[in-house]
Parts: sequence; structure tokens; C-alpha cells
Amino acid sequence: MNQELSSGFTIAANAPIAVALAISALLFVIGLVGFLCRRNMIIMFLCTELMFQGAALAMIAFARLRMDVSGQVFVIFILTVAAAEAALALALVVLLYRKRETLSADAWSDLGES
Amino acid sequence: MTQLTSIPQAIIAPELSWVGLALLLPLLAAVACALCCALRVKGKAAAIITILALAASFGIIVKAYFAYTGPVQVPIFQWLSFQWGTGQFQSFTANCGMYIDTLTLYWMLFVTGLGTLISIYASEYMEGDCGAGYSRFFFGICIFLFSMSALVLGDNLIMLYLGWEGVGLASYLLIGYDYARPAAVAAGKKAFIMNRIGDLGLALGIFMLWANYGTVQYSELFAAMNKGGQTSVNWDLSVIPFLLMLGAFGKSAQIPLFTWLPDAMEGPTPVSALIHAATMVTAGVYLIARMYPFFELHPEALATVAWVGGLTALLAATIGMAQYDIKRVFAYSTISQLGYMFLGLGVGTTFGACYHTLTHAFFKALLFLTAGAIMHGFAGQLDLRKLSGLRHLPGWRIVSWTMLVGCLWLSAFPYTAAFFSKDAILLKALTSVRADFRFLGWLGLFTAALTAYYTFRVWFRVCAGPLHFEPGAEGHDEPHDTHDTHDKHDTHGKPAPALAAKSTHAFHPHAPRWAINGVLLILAVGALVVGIPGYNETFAHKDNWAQQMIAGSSAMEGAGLAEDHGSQASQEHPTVLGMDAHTGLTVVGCTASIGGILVAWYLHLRSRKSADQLRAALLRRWWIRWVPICMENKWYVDEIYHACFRLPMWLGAQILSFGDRHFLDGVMVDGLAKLPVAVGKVFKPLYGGALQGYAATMAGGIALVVAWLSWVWLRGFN
Amino acid sequence: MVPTIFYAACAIAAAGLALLLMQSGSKFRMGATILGLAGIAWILVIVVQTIPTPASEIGPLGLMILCAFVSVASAVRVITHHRPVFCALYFVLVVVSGAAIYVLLSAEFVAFSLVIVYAGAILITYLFVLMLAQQSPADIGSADAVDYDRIAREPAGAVIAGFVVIAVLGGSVFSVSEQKAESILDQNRAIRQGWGDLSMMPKLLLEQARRTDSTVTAVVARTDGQMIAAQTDHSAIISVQRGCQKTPTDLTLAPSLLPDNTSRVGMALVTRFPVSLELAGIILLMAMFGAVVLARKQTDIADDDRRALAGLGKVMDGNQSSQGKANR
Repeated sequence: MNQELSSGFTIAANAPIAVALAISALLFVIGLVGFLCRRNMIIMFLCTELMFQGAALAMIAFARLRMDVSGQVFVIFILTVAAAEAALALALVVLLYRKRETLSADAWSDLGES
Repeated sequence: MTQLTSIPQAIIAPELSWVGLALLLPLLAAVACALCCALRVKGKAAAIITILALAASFGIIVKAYFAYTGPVQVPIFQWLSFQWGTGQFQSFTANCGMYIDTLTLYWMLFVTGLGTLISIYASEYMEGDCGAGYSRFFFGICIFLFSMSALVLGDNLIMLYLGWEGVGLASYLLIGYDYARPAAVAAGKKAFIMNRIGDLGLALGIFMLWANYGTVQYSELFAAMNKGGQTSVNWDLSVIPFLLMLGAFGKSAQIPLFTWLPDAMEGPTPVSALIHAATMVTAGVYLIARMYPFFELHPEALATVAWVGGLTALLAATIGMAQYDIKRVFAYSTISQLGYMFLGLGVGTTFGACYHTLTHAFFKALLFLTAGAIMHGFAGQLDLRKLSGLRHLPGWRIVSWTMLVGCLWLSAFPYTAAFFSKDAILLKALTSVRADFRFLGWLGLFTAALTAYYTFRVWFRVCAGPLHFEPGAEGHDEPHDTHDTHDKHDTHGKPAPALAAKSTHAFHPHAPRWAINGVLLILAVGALVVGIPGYNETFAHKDNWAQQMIAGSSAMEGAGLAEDHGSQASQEHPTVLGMDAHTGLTVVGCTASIGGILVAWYLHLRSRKSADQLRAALLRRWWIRWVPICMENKWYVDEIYHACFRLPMWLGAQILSFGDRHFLDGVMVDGLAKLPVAVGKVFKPLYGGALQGYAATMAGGIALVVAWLSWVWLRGFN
Repeated sequence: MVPTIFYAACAIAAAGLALLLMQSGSKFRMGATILGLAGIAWILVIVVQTIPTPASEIGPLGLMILCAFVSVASAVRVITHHRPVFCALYFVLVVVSGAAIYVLLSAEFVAFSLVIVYAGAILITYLFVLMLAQQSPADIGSADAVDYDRIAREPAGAVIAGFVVIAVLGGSVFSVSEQKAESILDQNRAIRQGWGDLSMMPKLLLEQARRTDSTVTAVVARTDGQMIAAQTDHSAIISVQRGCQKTPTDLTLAPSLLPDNTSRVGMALVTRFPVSLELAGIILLMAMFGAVVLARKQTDIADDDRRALAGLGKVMDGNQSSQGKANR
């Protein structure tokens, strides 16, 4: 097995970085899956936050790999944007909830064909 | 093989281009009639224009006859002229010009003459349609005469073909003149389509002629024939006469393309008289006469023509014996007499055929016009079972006696014109070297007897005997005792059902007036006049004018491959029943015609019930009953054609229509139309309004992009 | 090269996840959980096995694996729990374990800011909203959660989509060749960058110099114009002015005097990413504006009255149906 996989994560120079990269991919994908299959709007946004987590972890891992602090700087910006987006998104969700008295995303499929 | 006698060479004579007016005048008259039609002229202006134009054409032709000195070729204007090389087969010339020799003048005389007379007749006959289709009718007549003149006068085969198609078109337009009646429309279509089948043969023949001789002009073709360079018979050449005769059979209603002519009787009677008796159907005879040198190269071709003619004559005569509609009887009679003409051409006597054409034109036109007068006066009644004794009616005497003249001529009563012409044909047949021609001659004599019988069947039934008449179904209101202008009449094609229920006693027949009577008289006199050449030859031993005309043209009986038959034949070959040929034929012919008349007199005048008893007796015996049944049903030829041709074509059309609907329309067109819809359905979730659908699509897109980046783009950096 | 084993591991994990997501009886839950955990474990094993690890680094690696496990398990719980509040709380766990991973990756500042901002601010907001929008138990009948929380929408499709993405991501990693991998490692550059950052912080530089040698009075530029010259042994040489001398002399700074992570992040933000910093501030300002606008009091006029105001007729079935008409 080693032979086959030897040219894989060796870019990660040492194991923790490799594990961090793998985890970032997994977090991203788990967030994607959750977004696609949950119907509660707030939880859908929570899953997008999960995807943010995955991306941020990848950034940090590569910053550690390349010993460049820019990756961490970028994560700060990601944090900023995530905060702004969360605030606005939740405000909108509350408004939507007031209209239909439900948090289900299926209530808002007017654009599609019935 | 003896050499062909030389065909006289035509000289180019542009100074005779005034003869082209005979072509131009009917065309101008046609345009004028079309204007009358468009302007909805209410009077008889179209008729007057037509009569004047045709009379002028006749005058021009007479003048040309008297100015005739020899065969000439008169160019009029350049029409089709191509040259793409310098060899013999690398040019094509078919200009508008005239080839005037005696055959042309002979034909044009009776075409234009009869055209004028019948137009005069039609001006009264069609007056019920004044303001409705009157001008259209004369437009058709003018078109017809223009085309017929082009056919006869043209100096190349392309002009002949133009005229050929033009007369077919005019025939279609005029048969279907009463387009509100489906029977007339169907008859017009049938005529046109059957003619087209023949035209195919003619077109192919013209192509083959050009392919072999490199030219379609008469003068050059005859020059090539004179040189004798084409006497070798190879495959290409031998096909030409068969193709040409196919065209002739289509136009002249011979087997197998004859069933259109009886149906063409749905057209108005002047049309039947002019086109389907006197002029158009003789175009086939003209074609073979004009191209006779080519036919003479191939005895098989001539034999085919003779056999087809002879058999057609017999077949049509048997059918005519059993018809009850007067016009139908005359139609089958026309087919039969045309068969005689082709028989004459086939056995080698172009003089006999052309002379018979002339006499037939007169007496057949006369007979049709009398039938038309009866139809016009008795509201469309033509069933000879319902008319009787018309010669006793005042006002109908001229009709009856001119009809008698026509019938006598048709029966070839001794020393009538038709007697001389039929005699010429049968003489040649009976004195032929070939046994099958002799058989055809006897067949022709038998047919002559039948002809006499059915002709006088009509006359004895309709014009003789006790007076009785019933009106037909096309009644229009008759003012009592007045024969003035008919205002607002139905056309002859529209029945007035109320009148059909009228009793016969309240119906007054509408006797013909001066136009109809006058033309009938002129035609009767004409029929007498055309007998003069024959009379001259037989009794006065002067030259037969018709024979001179024919012999001086390309239709001359060049002694091609057959042995010469001069007057020596009758002495060397004791032919007809042991007597000298001429005498023997005269005796047998007279017997045949008079015998037929007597039988008709007995069965249809003396004791009319005996005809019915005879028919019933025939039907009872199983071994003979097929004869009257087949005769009455026209030998089922129409039904055979329907089964052989129309039914498979209809089946094929159904299959193709099914394929078109379901495959071409359904699968290909509709299927292709459904393709975008299906593709759209595939992509519908993309914009279905479901948020997570969008997200899934985005995920898919991301995956694609990453895959491309990592597997394609990055590899480029290695 | 196609890492089929990697794909197989991913597939197993995906299958486990799908089963967990489906609303089936509890008999599947145990099996699904085991399946999922096994898949994830296998992935981690694959990843770790590709890289030879010296014995000294087993400790950090073990910690890392533990935090990774916690993180992923909590993430799975976030998306599979049927009660939204618990989802948020599990998310907090994800964030905390994520912060631990960051620390192990030498990103301390970001780790703590993550905890403060995410767990402290964002998730609190989520919890507030979830409390606000929760439906009372009387509404939902006998089940302990609303149906749109219990029943997942097309879990199979979602898992397949996820699997495709991770297969592509992982596969792309495996498609990079080894030579290339080595070339992106550059330890020295990081050290140089660290000293470079320090050179731009004069006060800190002076402080570090004084810590080394307390007689330093000022730091001056060197003869080649630079402030700091990094050496191969990761130390640096600066020109300093000591109190008793007139001409500058060299001073060697030990590698331990490199600025710490927080300083470096701050330095990078201010010197290399000033525009982004300003823009981030503007984004926050916009978000605040937006929140104020959205939070304005909406007068809740009933549909019929609103339509009457606009001059239209009544709505037939009110606003109860999920396919109700959109309001103006």
C-alpha cells in the first residue's frame, strides 16, 4: 500500500499537516452533504459554516507547510466574512420564518414548476 | 433492298412568312378571349373574335395553297439554338419556323376549315353560358387551334411537341369546361394523364432521333434519309418508330390508351366534334405520316401499327354496338375509324389513311354536331331508347337528314366519300404480300359491316319510327313557343331537378336555329365535296387530288423494304374472292355496308322488340352470353386498368402516406422536436426553484473544475 | 495513478453517512455509526501511512489524530441530529477541536480568534435565532422534532454528491508527483520572512536586542541597507549602537527571539494586506447596515388588508398553504 500511495500526501512533509488536509476535505464534504439534505434553513446555513471551517483548516495547514503567515491572515478574513454573512443570513431567515411560520426550505419553491 | 424514293428537298423561303399569321391569329384571338373573360363580357364577343380569326387563318392557308410551288421551310424567329462544339452532335437547333409541304397544307385546310365551322356552331350552342363560361370556352378553342397549327406547321419536332402538349392542355381545359361536375373533371384528368403516357413515348422518340441524327429539324432529317446513310438497322434506330407510335396511340386513342376518349364526351359537343373527332385525334396519324420514312425502315414497326389499328377498330366497333348514349356510340366509332387509319398506315398506304382522315373529319364532325343539336334541344337527352322519330318533328328536318348523310358516309355506303377512302385502305391490306395483313383486311371488312349496323341502329332509333321523346335531366325553362334569347339559363351542366319530374307533354323541344342548321348543311355539302377526288379516280380516271397531295410530301409511300405494289398487283395476285382486286373489294364492301344497314333496319325500325328478344336470347345461352355482357361493359378495359395500375399505385400511395405520416413526420420531425423538450427536462432541476438543487449543481461544477485543474492543467507543469 | 483504496475508504465512509442520515429505525444507527467511523479511521490511516514519521513526532501526531476524530465526528453529528439546538452545540465542539488543530499547526492567534469569533459570537447568534424560531412542542405532536428536521431530503443524492467532491479532491492530491512535492518546502524562507517581519517592527526589534544585550541603545541599518541579515543557522545579525561606542557593531539574535505568531500575523495584516484589512472593515460596516435595515419593525398586515391597500381582491386561501401566493 505504501508504494501505491507514496506520491500522495508526501507533499505534506509531515504527518500532522497531511491529517489536517484530510480533515479539511472531510469537513468541507460533510458540510456539503448537510447542506444538500437538511431542510431546516438555519441548519443549512450552519452547514455552510462547516464548509467554511474546512476551507479555513486547509489554509492553516498550507500556511504551516510553507511557513508563510499569509494563510493565517486569510483565515482571519474568512472569519470576518463568515461573521457578516451569518448575521445577515440569520436576519433574513427570521424574516422568512415570519412569513410562512416554518423554517422548512420547501416552503420557498415558488420559482420552480409546481 | 431497294433505295428509298427521294423525299423532296425543302428550300428556305422567308418571303412566305405571312403564312405565319395562321399561327399568330388564333393566339391573338386567345388573348382577346382571355380579356373578354377577365372583363366579364356578357355577349358573344368572344365567339365573333374566334370565328373571324379562324376564318382569316383558313383564308391564309387557302392563299398559301394557291401560292404553293414546292416544299419550303419558312423561318419565323430564333427560339432554341445552342452550339457547344463543332461536331454533328454538338448543336441543337429548334427555331420557330414552318415547314410547308403538301401534307401540311392538306392538314391545315381541314383543321382551320372545320375550326371555323364548328366555332360558328358553338356560338349558338353555348349561348346558354353567355356571361358565365362563354369566353372561357372560346379561349380554349383558340388555344387549341394555335397548338394544332403549331403541331402541323412546325418545321421541327420540338414545335410538334409544343403543339402536341398544347392540344392536350386545350383538351383538358375544354373537357373539364363544366368544372362543377365531378364527372367532367375526372374525364379531363383521365384524358390528360393517358395522353401523357403517350407523350413519354413521343419525347423519348425525339431524343433518340436527335441522338442518332444530330438534328430535330424535318429538312435535315429528310436529307439524312435521302442520303440513305441510315438504312442500317441497329438497336438504337429500331426503337424510334415504336416510341413514336406510342405517342400516336396515346393521342389518337388506340389500344392500349383509348379509354379516355369515350369519357371525353363529358365535354360540350362542339369540343367533341372539333377535338375528339376531327383534329386532335388525327395528330397521331399526322405524326406517323410525317415521320413515315423512319417507319418504313422497320417493317415490324409498321406491322405493329397495322395490328393495333385493326384490333382497335374491331374492339371499338363491338363496344359501340352495345352503347345507348348517342355520343358514346360516336366516340367508339371515332376510335374504330382511327383504327382504320392506322391500319392503312401500317399496311403501307399513307394516301388511304390520310384520305380517310379527311373524309372522317367531315362526316364525324357532322354526326357529332347533329347529336349536339339533339342534346341542345331535348335538354340533354341522348339515350337512344328515349328518342324516336325525330324527323317528323317540325324544325328538326335538317338535323335528321344531315344525320342520315353522316351515317351513310360512316357506313361507307357505296360511292360515298368514305367508301372510296376505306376502299383504298382495305385494298392495300387485302392485296398485301403478308398474310397477316390480308387477315387484317378481312377483319376490316367485318368491322365495316358492324360499323354500318351500329350507325344505322342510332339513326333508325332516333330519327325514324314513331314520334316519341323524353327530355333529359338538364332542363332549363322554355318559354312556350318562343325561341328567343334565353335569359339567365342554367348552363348545360347543371340539372334542374324540378323539370325532370315534368311530364313529356309539357316539354317542348328547342329546335336549332340558323347557326346550327347552317353549319350542318355546310358540313353535309363538304362531305359530298371530299368525295370528289375519289370519284375522279374511280370513274373519271383523273388524278386523285388527295393522292397527289400526299405523294408529294414526306408521307410518300417510298418503296422501302417492301416490294412495289403497282397496278400490276391486282393482275398478278388474284386476291379478293377470285375477282380482280378493285371489283372484288367493291362487291364485298357494298355487301358489308348494305347488309349492316338492313340488319339495323330490321332490328331497330321494323320490329324494335326483336332487338330486345335477341338480346334476351343471347343472355340465356351460357356459351354466348359473355358476348353481349362484355360488349355492354366495354370489355372491362377500364376495370382492368384500374386493377393493374390504379390499385397498385393507390396501395403504394397509402404505404408512402403512412410512412410519411408516421416516420417522416412522426419520428423525424416530431421526434426531433421532442429532443429539445427532453433535453430541457434533463436540465429542469437546475432551475426548479429548489435551493438545494442549485447547490448540488454547484457541487458538481466544483468537482469538475477541480478535476480539470488537477488532472489536466497541473500536468502541464511537470 | 488512481488511488482506489482511498476511494474505497471514502465510499465506506459515505455509505455510513448516508445510512445515518436516513430516517430508519435505530437498528441501523449502530451499524451505520460503526461503518462511518471505520471509514474515517481508514482514511486517516491511509493518510498517515504515506508519510514516514520519526519517533519524536508521534506525540503531536497522536494529538492531532484525536482532535481530528473529534472534529469529524462532531461534524457528522451536526448534520444528522434531529434537534437544531443540538446541531449548533455540536458545531461548537467542531470549532473547539478545530482550534486545537490550529494550535498544533502553530497558528495560535487564529485558533483563539476562531474560538472567540465563531463559538463566542456566531454560534451564539445561531442559538438565539434557533430559540426564536423554534416551534413549541404542542405544535409538533408526538414526535420530538418537526418533520423537516427529522427527515432528510434525498440523503442518497447528497451523499453521492459529497463523495464525488471528496473523490476529486483526494484524487487531485494523489495526482501530484513527488518531485514537485519536495520543491515547495522551503524552511529557510519562513525564517527569513520572520526576521523580515521583525525588521519592520522597530520597537520590538530594539526590545529583542536589549534582551540579548542590555547595553544596546539603538538599532541602525546595516551597511548593505537592510536591517536584519538572516543566517543559515536561523539566527540573525543586526547592527546596533551600543552605549559606549560610536560606531555600530553587529549583534546576533538567537532564533528564539523570532516574533511570535500573533505579532507576525498583526505585522502581516498591516504591512502586506492593508487594503484587505480596510475592506474587511467595510464588509463589517455593510453587514451592520444590512442588519439594521433588516431588523426594522415589519408591520404585519394581514394579506387581505394589504391586498386591499394595493387595490386587489382577496386571496382565496389565506397564507397558510406552503404554496401560498407571494406577498407584495
